[in-house]
Amino acid sequence: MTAVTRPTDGDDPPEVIDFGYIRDILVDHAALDPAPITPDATLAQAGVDSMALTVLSMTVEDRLGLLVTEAVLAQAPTVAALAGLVAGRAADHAL
Amino acid sequence: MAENERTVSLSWRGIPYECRIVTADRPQTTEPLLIVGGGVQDVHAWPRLERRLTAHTAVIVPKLPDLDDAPDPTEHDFDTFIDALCHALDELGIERVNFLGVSYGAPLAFRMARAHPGRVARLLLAGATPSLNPAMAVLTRDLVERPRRSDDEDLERTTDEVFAKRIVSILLNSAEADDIDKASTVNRMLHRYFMHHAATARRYIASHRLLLDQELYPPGGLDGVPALVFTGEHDQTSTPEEARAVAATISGSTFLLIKNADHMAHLEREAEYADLVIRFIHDRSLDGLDYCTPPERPHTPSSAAPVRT
Repeated sequence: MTAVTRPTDGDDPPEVIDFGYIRDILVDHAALDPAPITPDATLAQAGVDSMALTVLSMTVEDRLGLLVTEAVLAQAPTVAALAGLVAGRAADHAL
Repeated sequence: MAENERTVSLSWRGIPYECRIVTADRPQTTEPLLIVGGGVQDVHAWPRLERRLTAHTAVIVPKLPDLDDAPDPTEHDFDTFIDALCHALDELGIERVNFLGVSYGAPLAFRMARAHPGRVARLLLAGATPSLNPAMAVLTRDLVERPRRSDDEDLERTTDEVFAKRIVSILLNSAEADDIDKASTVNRMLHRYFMHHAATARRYIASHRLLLDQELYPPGGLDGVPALVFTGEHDQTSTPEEARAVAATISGSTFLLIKNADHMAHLEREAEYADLVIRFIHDRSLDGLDYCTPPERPHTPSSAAPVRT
Protein backbone atom coordinates (compact mmCIF):
# COMPACT_ATOMS: atom_id res chain seq x y z
CA MET A 1 0.00 0.00 0.00
CA THR A 2 1.24 3.48 -0.84
CA ALA A 3 2.47 5.54 2.08
CA VAL A 4 4.21 8.85 1.97
CA THR A 5 5.87 10.62 4.86
CA ARG A 6 5.71 14.38 4.92
CA PRO A 7 7.88 16.51 7.18
CA THR A 8 6.03 19.00 9.36
CA ASP A 9 6.98 22.35 10.78
CA GLY A 10 8.46 22.51 14.26
CA ASP A 11 8.85 19.53 16.53
CA ASP A 12 5.80 17.57 15.37
CA PRO A 13 6.54 14.08 14.04
CA PRO A 14 6.32 13.69 10.25
CA GLU A 15 2.87 12.82 8.90
CA VAL A 16 2.49 9.43 7.27
CA ILE A 17 -0.09 9.59 4.52
CA ASP A 18 -1.49 6.11 4.19
CA PHE A 19 -4.74 4.20 4.67
CA GLY A 20 -4.80 4.98 8.40
CA TYR A 21 -4.35 8.69 7.73
CA ILE A 22 -7.34 8.76 5.40
CA ARG A 23 -9.43 6.51 7.64
CA ASP A 24 -8.81 8.78 10.62
CA ILE A 25 -9.98 11.84 8.69
CA LEU A 26 -13.12 10.01 7.55
CA VAL A 27 -13.90 8.86 11.09
CA ASP A 28 -12.77 11.83 13.18
CA HIS A 29 -13.77 14.67 10.88
CA ALA A 30 -16.42 13.25 8.52
CA ALA A 31 -18.18 11.27 11.29
CA LEU A 32 -18.21 7.99 9.38
CA ASP A 33 -18.58 4.61 11.07
CA PRO A 34 -15.06 3.06 11.18
CA ALA A 35 -16.22 -0.56 10.77
CA PRO A 36 -16.84 -0.61 7.00
CA ILE A 37 -13.75 1.48 6.20
CA THR A 38 -11.33 -1.20 5.05
CA PRO A 39 -8.60 -0.91 2.42
CA ASP A 40 -10.51 -3.01 -0.11
CA ALA A 41 -13.91 -1.39 0.46
CA THR A 42 -15.33 0.72 -2.32
CA LEU A 43 -16.15 4.27 -1.32
CA ALA A 44 -19.84 3.39 -1.27
CA GLN A 45 -19.21 0.32 0.89
CA ALA A 46 -17.15 2.44 3.27
CA GLY A 47 -19.98 4.95 3.57
CA VAL A 48 -17.99 7.69 1.89
CA ASP A 49 -20.64 10.15 0.71
CA SER A 50 -20.39 13.62 -0.81
CA MET A 51 -20.14 15.19 2.63
CA ALA A 52 -17.22 12.93 3.54
CA LEU A 53 -15.45 13.72 0.28
CA THR A 54 -15.86 17.43 0.95
CA VAL A 55 -14.46 17.02 4.46
CA LEU A 56 -11.55 14.98 3.12
CA SER A 57 -10.78 17.50 0.38
CA MET A 58 -10.89 20.42 2.82
CA THR A 59 -8.79 18.62 5.44
CA VAL A 60 -6.13 17.60 2.93
CA GLU A 61 -5.99 21.19 1.73
CA ASP A 62 -5.69 22.54 5.28
CA ARG A 63 -3.10 20.04 6.48
CA LEU A 64 -1.05 19.43 3.38
CA GLY A 65 -1.68 22.46 1.21
CA LEU A 66 -2.94 20.15 -1.54
CA LEU A 67 -5.87 20.94 -3.79
CA VAL A 68 -7.56 17.63 -4.57
CA THR A 69 -11.18 18.14 -5.55
CA GLU A 70 -14.08 15.97 -4.49
CA ALA A 71 -14.57 14.94 -8.11
CA VAL A 72 -11.01 13.60 -8.27
CA LEU A 73 -11.29 11.86 -4.91
CA ALA A 74 -14.58 10.25 -5.94
CA GLN A 75 -12.85 8.43 -8.79
CA ALA A 76 -10.85 6.21 -6.41
CA PRO A 77 -12.21 2.65 -6.67
CA THR A 78 -11.34 1.73 -3.07
CA VAL A 79 -10.33 3.38 0.19
CA ALA A 80 -6.77 2.10 -0.33
CA ALA A 81 -6.77 3.73 -3.75
CA LEU A 82 -8.05 6.92 -2.15
CA ALA A 83 -5.10 6.87 0.23
CA GLY A 84 -2.76 6.16 -2.65
CA LEU A 85 -4.20 9.06 -4.61
CA VAL A 86 -3.64 11.54 -1.79
CA ALA A 87 -0.20 10.12 -1.02
CA GLY A 88 0.77 10.39 -4.67
CA ARG A 89 -0.35 13.99 -4.86
CA ALA A 90 1.56 14.75 -1.65
CA ALA A 91 4.71 13.17 -3.06
CA ASP A 92 4.39 15.16 -6.29
CA HIS A 93 3.79 18.32 -4.29
CA ALA A 94 6.95 17.74 -2.24
CA LEU A 95 9.20 17.48 -5.30
CA MET B 1 -27.63 -3.35 -3.64
CA ALA B 2 -27.41 -4.47 -0.01
CA GLU B 3 -29.58 -7.36 1.20
CA ASN B 4 -31.51 -5.14 3.59
CA GLU B 5 -32.86 -2.78 0.95
CA ARG B 6 -34.90 -2.80 -2.21
CA THR B 7 -36.03 -0.24 -4.74
CA VAL B 8 -39.33 -0.50 -6.59
CA SER B 9 -40.05 1.24 -9.90
CA LEU B 10 -43.54 2.68 -9.96
CA SER B 11 -45.88 4.70 -12.12
CA TRP B 12 -48.71 7.02 -11.12
CA ARG B 13 -51.04 8.49 -13.74
CA GLY B 14 -48.40 7.92 -16.36
CA ILE B 15 -45.52 9.45 -14.42
CA PRO B 16 -42.64 7.14 -13.49
CA TYR B 17 -41.09 7.35 -10.03
CA GLU B 18 -39.23 5.19 -7.53
CA CYS B 19 -39.33 4.20 -3.91
CA ARG B 20 -36.58 2.57 -1.84
CA ILE B 21 -36.95 0.83 1.51
CA VAL B 22 -34.15 -0.09 3.91
CA THR B 23 -35.06 -2.48 6.69
CA ALA B 24 -33.95 -1.89 10.27
CA ASP B 25 -31.02 -3.53 11.99
CA ARG B 26 -33.18 -4.65 14.93
CA PRO B 27 -36.79 -5.77 15.56
CA GLN B 28 -39.26 -2.96 14.98
CA THR B 29 -41.10 -1.24 17.80
CA THR B 30 -42.52 1.57 15.67
CA GLU B 31 -43.84 2.13 12.16
CA PRO B 32 -41.38 2.54 9.23
CA LEU B 33 -40.14 6.09 8.66
CA LEU B 34 -41.09 7.69 5.35
CA ILE B 35 -38.76 10.59 4.47
CA VAL B 36 -39.69 13.14 1.83
CA GLY B 37 -37.46 16.15 1.43
CA GLY B 38 -36.62 18.90 -0.97
CA GLY B 39 -37.39 19.05 -4.63
CA VAL B 40 -34.28 17.26 -5.84
CA GLN B 41 -34.50 14.23 -3.57
CA ASP B 42 -33.66 10.85 -5.03
CA VAL B 43 -33.86 7.47 -3.33
CA HIS B 44 -30.34 7.82 -1.92
CA ALA B 45 -30.77 11.37 -0.67
CA TRP B 46 -30.24 10.82 3.05
CA PRO B 47 -27.15 8.61 3.47
CA ARG B 48 -26.01 10.13 6.77
CA LEU B 49 -29.41 10.25 8.39
CA GLU B 50 -30.29 6.84 7.00
CA ARG B 51 -27.17 5.26 8.54
CA ARG B 52 -28.15 6.50 11.98
CA LEU B 53 -31.87 5.83 11.65
CA THR B 54 -31.79 2.29 10.27
CA ALA B 55 -30.26 1.09 13.51
CA HIS B 56 -33.70 1.80 14.97
CA THR B 57 -36.32 1.84 12.22
CA ALA B 58 -37.01 0.87 8.64
CA VAL B 59 -36.60 3.86 6.32
CA ILE B 60 -38.55 4.53 3.12
CA VAL B 61 -37.16 7.09 0.64
CA PRO B 62 -39.13 7.86 -2.53
CA LYS B 63 -38.13 9.89 -5.56
CA LEU B 64 -41.28 11.84 -6.23
CA PRO B 65 -42.83 11.90 -9.70
CA ASP B 66 -41.44 14.67 -11.90
CA LEU B 67 -44.52 16.51 -13.13
CA ASP B 68 -42.76 17.37 -16.38
CA ASP B 69 -42.89 13.64 -17.18
CA ALA B 70 -46.69 13.65 -16.99
CA PRO B 71 -48.70 13.36 -20.20
CA ASP B 72 -50.38 16.65 -19.17
CA PRO B 73 -48.43 18.46 -16.41
CA THR B 74 -51.20 21.01 -15.94
CA GLU B 75 -53.45 18.34 -14.44
CA HIS B 76 -51.29 17.91 -11.36
CA ASP B 77 -50.93 19.46 -7.94
CA PHE B 78 -50.09 18.34 -4.42
CA ASP B 79 -52.63 15.54 -4.63
CA THR B 80 -50.57 13.82 -7.31
CA PHE B 81 -47.67 13.48 -4.88
CA ILE B 82 -49.93 12.33 -2.04
CA ASP B 83 -51.60 9.74 -4.25
CA ALA B 84 -48.22 8.58 -5.53
CA LEU B 85 -46.91 8.16 -1.98
CA CYS B 86 -49.98 6.13 -0.98
CA HIS B 87 -49.56 4.03 -4.10
CA ALA B 88 -45.91 3.40 -3.20
CA LEU B 89 -46.85 2.29 0.32
CA ASP B 90 -49.51 -0.03 -1.12
CA GLU B 91 -46.93 -1.57 -3.43
CA LEU B 92 -44.56 -2.06 -0.51
CA GLY B 93 -47.35 -3.59 1.59
CA ILE B 94 -47.07 -0.91 4.27
CA GLU B 95 -50.22 0.41 5.90
CA ARG B 96 -48.91 3.05 8.34
CA VAL B 97 -45.76 5.11 8.55
CA ASN B 98 -44.09 7.77 10.60
CA PHE B 99 -43.79 10.58 8.06
CA LEU B 100 -40.79 12.93 8.18
CA GLY B 101 -41.46 15.77 5.75
CA VAL B 102 -38.45 18.00 5.28
CA SER B 103 -38.67 21.47 3.73
CA TYR B 104 -40.73 21.02 0.57
CA GLY B 105 -41.73 17.59 1.89
CA ALA B 106 -43.34 19.09 5.01
CA PRO B 107 -46.57 20.22 3.34
CA LEU B 108 -46.80 16.84 1.64
CA ALA B 109 -46.56 15.10 5.01
CA PHE B 110 -49.13 17.45 6.51
CA ARG B 111 -51.54 16.95 3.62
CA MET B 112 -51.13 13.19 3.68
CA ALA B 113 -51.93 13.13 7.40
CA ARG B 114 -55.07 15.16 6.70
CA ALA B 115 -56.22 13.17 3.70
CA HIS B 116 -55.24 9.74 4.99
CA PRO B 117 -55.09 9.92 8.80
CA GLY B 118 -55.00 6.15 9.11
CA ARG B 119 -51.71 5.98 7.24
CA VAL B 120 -49.67 8.42 9.34
CA ALA B 121 -48.85 7.23 12.85
CA ARG B 122 -46.67 10.23 13.70
CA LEU B 123 -45.94 13.40 11.80
CA LEU B 124 -42.54 15.11 11.80
CA LEU B 125 -42.17 18.41 9.94
CA ALA B 126 -38.68 19.84 9.53
CA GLY B 127 -38.03 23.22 7.92
CA ALA B 128 -41.74 23.90 7.44
CA THR B 129 -43.10 27.27 6.38
CA PRO B 130 -46.67 28.35 5.57
CA SER B 131 -45.72 29.53 2.09
CA LEU B 132 -42.70 29.25 -0.16
CA ASN B 133 -39.71 31.37 0.85
CA PRO B 134 -39.86 34.54 -1.32
CA ALA B 135 -36.29 34.13 -2.59
CA MET B 136 -36.99 30.50 -3.51
CA ALA B 137 -40.19 31.55 -5.27
CA VAL B 138 -38.25 34.12 -7.33
CA LEU B 139 -35.61 31.52 -8.17
CA THR B 140 -38.28 29.04 -9.23
CA ARG B 141 -39.94 31.60 -11.48
CA ASP B 142 -36.58 32.52 -13.01
CA LEU B 143 -35.92 28.86 -13.78
CA VAL B 144 -39.33 28.45 -15.36
CA GLU B 145 -38.75 31.44 -17.63
CA ARG B 146 -35.18 30.59 -18.52
CA PRO B 147 -34.60 29.31 -22.07
CA ARG B 148 -33.37 25.79 -22.66
CA ARG B 149 -29.70 25.04 -22.19
CA SER B 150 -27.55 26.40 -24.97
CA ASP B 151 -24.55 24.84 -26.70
CA ASP B 152 -22.28 27.51 -25.25
CA GLU B 153 -20.47 25.58 -22.50
CA ASP B 154 -18.93 28.68 -20.94
CA LEU B 155 -22.31 30.36 -20.73
CA GLU B 156 -23.89 27.26 -19.24
CA ARG B 157 -21.12 26.89 -16.68
CA THR B 158 -21.53 30.52 -15.64
CA THR B 159 -25.29 30.04 -15.42
CA ASP B 160 -24.82 26.91 -13.31
CA GLU B 161 -22.42 28.79 -11.04
CA VAL B 162 -24.92 31.61 -10.53
CA PHE B 163 -27.71 29.11 -9.89
CA ALA B 164 -25.61 27.20 -7.34
CA LYS B 165 -24.68 30.38 -5.49
CA ARG B 166 -28.27 31.56 -5.42
CA ILE B 167 -29.77 28.38 -4.08
CA VAL B 168 -27.02 27.89 -1.50
CA SER B 169 -27.48 31.47 -0.32
CA ILE B 170 -31.18 30.71 0.17
CA LEU B 171 -30.68 27.43 2.00
CA LEU B 172 -27.80 28.47 4.27
CA ASN B 173 -27.63 31.36 6.73
CA SER B 174 -24.20 32.78 5.99
CA ALA B 175 -24.66 35.66 8.44
CA GLU B 176 -24.76 33.16 11.32
CA ALA B 177 -22.14 30.78 9.92
CA ASP B 178 -19.89 31.24 12.96
CA ASP B 179 -22.65 29.77 15.15
CA ILE B 180 -23.56 26.88 12.83
CA ASP B 181 -21.83 23.50 12.99
CA LYS B 182 -19.97 22.41 9.84
CA ALA B 183 -21.09 25.62 8.11
CA SER B 184 -18.15 25.87 5.71
CA THR B 185 -18.24 22.17 4.86
CA VAL B 186 -21.97 22.15 4.17
CA ASN B 187 -21.68 25.34 2.12
CA ARG B 188 -18.98 23.85 -0.07
CA MET B 189 -20.72 20.49 -0.41
CA LEU B 190 -24.02 22.05 -1.43
CA HIS B 191 -22.33 24.35 -3.90
CA ARG B 192 -20.51 21.43 -5.49
CA TYR B 193 -23.71 19.39 -5.50
CA PHE B 194 -25.75 22.05 -7.24
CA MET B 195 -22.98 22.74 -9.74
CA HIS B 196 -22.72 19.04 -10.56
CA HIS B 197 -26.47 18.47 -10.71
CA ALA B 198 -27.43 21.93 -11.97
CA ALA B 199 -29.38 20.83 -15.01
CA THR B 200 -31.41 18.25 -13.09
CA ALA B 201 -31.95 20.52 -10.11
CA ARG B 202 -33.01 23.47 -12.24
CA ARG B 203 -35.48 21.35 -14.18
CA TYR B 204 -36.90 19.79 -11.05
CA ILE B 205 -37.27 23.04 -9.15
CA ALA B 206 -38.92 24.60 -12.18
CA SER B 207 -41.41 21.73 -12.22
CA HIS B 208 -42.75 23.07 -8.91
CA ARG B 209 -44.17 26.08 -10.70
CA LEU B 210 -47.69 24.70 -10.35
CA LEU B 211 -47.35 24.93 -6.61
CA LEU B 212 -46.09 28.49 -6.39
CA ASP B 213 -49.35 30.31 -6.08
CA GLN B 214 -51.13 28.32 -3.44
CA GLU B 215 -50.85 28.04 0.29
CA LEU B 216 -48.66 25.10 1.16
CA TYR B 217 -50.89 24.15 4.09
CA PRO B 218 -54.64 24.05 3.62
CA PRO B 219 -56.69 25.97 6.17
CA GLY B 220 -58.33 24.16 9.00
CA GLY B 221 -55.30 22.71 10.70
CA LEU B 222 -54.82 19.14 11.78
CA ASP B 223 -55.58 17.03 14.81
CA GLY B 224 -55.50 13.44 15.84
CA VAL B 225 -51.89 12.72 14.97
CA PRO B 226 -48.85 13.18 17.22
CA ALA B 227 -46.70 15.84 15.55
CA LEU B 228 -43.23 17.31 15.99
CA VAL B 229 -42.32 20.51 14.15
CA PHE B 230 -38.68 21.58 14.23
CA THR B 231 -35.89 23.31 12.36
CA GLY B 232 -32.49 24.88 12.98
CA GLU B 233 -32.45 27.93 15.21
CA HIS B 234 -30.79 29.96 12.43
CA ASP B 235 -33.03 28.76 9.60
CA GLN B 236 -33.73 31.64 7.20
CA THR B 237 -35.50 29.51 4.57
CA SER B 238 -38.26 28.53 6.97
CA THR B 239 -37.71 30.80 9.93
CA PRO B 240 -38.44 29.71 13.51
CA GLU B 241 -41.45 32.03 13.50
CA GLU B 242 -42.79 30.49 10.31
CA ALA B 243 -42.19 26.94 11.52
CA ARG B 244 -43.87 27.80 14.82
CA ALA B 245 -46.86 29.14 12.85
CA VAL B 246 -47.18 25.75 11.13
CA ALA B 247 -46.96 23.96 14.49
CA ALA B 248 -49.68 26.23 15.84
CA THR B 249 -52.13 24.73 13.34
CA ILE B 250 -51.62 21.17 14.61
CA SER B 251 -53.46 20.21 17.75
CA GLY B 252 -51.13 18.94 20.46
CA SER B 253 -48.00 19.43 18.35
CA THR B 254 -44.55 19.90 19.82
CA PHE B 255 -42.23 22.61 18.49
CA LEU B 256 -38.52 23.04 19.10
CA LEU B 257 -35.34 24.33 17.48
CA ILE B 258 -32.04 22.54 16.97
CA LYS B 259 -29.20 24.72 18.17
CA ASN B 260 -26.21 25.68 16.01
CA ALA B 261 -28.02 24.80 12.79
CA ASP B 262 -30.06 26.35 9.98
CA HIS B 263 -32.28 24.87 7.25
CA MET B 264 -29.74 22.13 6.60
CA ALA B 265 -29.73 20.87 10.18
CA HIS B 266 -29.71 17.25 8.99
CA LEU B 267 -26.22 17.84 7.60
CA GLU B 268 -24.94 20.26 10.22
CA ARG B 269 -26.07 18.27 13.28
CA GLU B 270 -26.83 14.85 11.85
CA ALA B 271 -26.36 12.89 15.08
CA GLU B 272 -28.62 15.18 17.07
CA TYR B 273 -31.18 15.37 14.25
CA ALA B 274 -31.34 11.57 14.09
CA ASP B 275 -31.57 11.31 17.87
CA LEU B 276 -34.51 13.70 17.88
CA VAL B 277 -36.34 11.73 15.20
CA ILE B 278 -35.66 8.40 16.91
CA ARG B 279 -36.92 9.74 20.23
CA PHE B 280 -40.13 11.09 18.76
CA ILE B 281 -41.08 8.03 16.74
CA HIS B 282 -40.58 5.90 19.85
CA ASP B 283 -42.67 8.26 22.01
CA ARG B 284 -39.71 9.12 24.22
CA SER B 285 -39.38 12.38 26.09
CA LEU B 286 -37.93 15.42 24.30
CA ASP B 287 -37.38 17.29 27.55
CA GLY B 288 -33.91 18.30 28.68
CA LEU B 289 -32.07 17.74 25.40
CA ASP B 290 -29.02 19.99 25.36
CA TYR B 291 -28.92 20.27 21.57
CA CYS B 292 -32.33 21.90 21.19
CA THR B 293 -34.61 24.45 22.77
CA PRO B 294 -37.20 23.31 25.31
CA PRO B 295 -40.30 21.80 23.67
CA GLU B 296 -43.17 24.24 23.11
CA ARG B 297 -46.87 23.61 22.56
CA PRO B 298 -47.82 26.50 20.25
CA HIS B 299 -51.28 25.29 19.23
CA THR B 300 -54.29 27.19 20.48
CA PRO B 301 -57.90 26.65 19.38
CA SER B 302 -57.78 29.91 17.37
CA SER B 303 -54.55 29.16 15.48
CA ALA B 304 -55.80 26.69 12.88
CA ALA B 305 -55.09 28.76 9.77
CA PRO B 306 -51.39 29.36 9.08
CA VAL B 307 -50.42 32.87 8.07
CA ARG B 308 -47.03 33.81 6.71
CA THR B 309 -45.25 35.98 9.28
